[in-house]
Amino acid sequence: MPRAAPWPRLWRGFRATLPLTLSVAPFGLAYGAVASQGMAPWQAQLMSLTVFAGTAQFIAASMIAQGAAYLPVLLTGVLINMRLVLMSAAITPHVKSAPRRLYPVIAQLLTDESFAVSMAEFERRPSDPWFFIGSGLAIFIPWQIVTALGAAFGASLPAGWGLEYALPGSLICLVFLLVRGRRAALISLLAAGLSLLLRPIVSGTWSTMAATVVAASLGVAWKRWQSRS
Amino acid sequence: METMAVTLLILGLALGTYLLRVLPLTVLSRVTLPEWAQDWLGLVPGAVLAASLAQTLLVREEHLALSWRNTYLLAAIPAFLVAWRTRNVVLTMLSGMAAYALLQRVI
Repeated sequence: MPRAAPWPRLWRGFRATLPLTLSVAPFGLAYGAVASQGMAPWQAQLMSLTVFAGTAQFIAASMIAQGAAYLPVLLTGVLINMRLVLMSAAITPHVKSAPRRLYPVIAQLLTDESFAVSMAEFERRPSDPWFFIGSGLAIFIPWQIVTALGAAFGASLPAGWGLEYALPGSLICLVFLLVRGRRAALISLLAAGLSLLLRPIVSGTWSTMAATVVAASLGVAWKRWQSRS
Repeated sequence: METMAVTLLILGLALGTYLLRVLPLTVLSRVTLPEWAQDWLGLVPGAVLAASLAQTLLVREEHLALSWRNTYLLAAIPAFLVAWRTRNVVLTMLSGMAAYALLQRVI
């Protein structure tokens, strides 16, 4: 572990993450705009501070704006964030040298972006929790600012700019980034198809979750069956 | 939804998300999940995103809308191409928004 003072190491992580900050900013603006349709600006900000997970925030905010029931919103958000479990597990060996009192901070700063930047860094240089914290802050701080801007001015953006399409547009790319490999792609397609088929039987978001659980379980079963035969 | 309910929902989502982030860091540093559980967790995010995307693009006003008048679906075509080619969230988002704005004027 490097012995230099924390600040330069934190700053290095911060700087290395700035290119991704640029891609997160419009997403945060759009989130703020969508959120302001269904909740007060301070609530949009509270969600950015405490949840701090763009895709889940975006989907939760749009579901709330459409008047969805509470439990499906909560479960959908948590399901989308399930990937954090895997990322947290993967980053653990690289950050566990940090003082234990910093564990809550490290956990809260975990996002797809900081995870990607830090893992790339730790493949080439020694593991460093301060680098990760700097990287996390480079997303966290701008995320708060663009949320406030989106919530304040998003509603006043004129219609016809296609802002309603910010969520599906971003989702399309996130699916590409998250789904790796042929089996994962097939399972995701299956989940999409199942969710549409299940709609007449189980309403709204429940069909999304039921389809996800069934498809992911089938994916696991398929892999086990293949490795046996 | 009333203010109190939305606030509780936000805090609930925050708590759930925090646990997902912090538990592996504190627990899994000692215990390893069985392989099938890791595999399952790995498949869930893509599947749930794909399913909610399908609902967003293909369900209009509670009905399956497989038609050329569904501007949500049509605007997804350029967005998919950009995502496939660039893997860039901003470019994908902007191309989808531009296509959607354009289609709304035409259709």
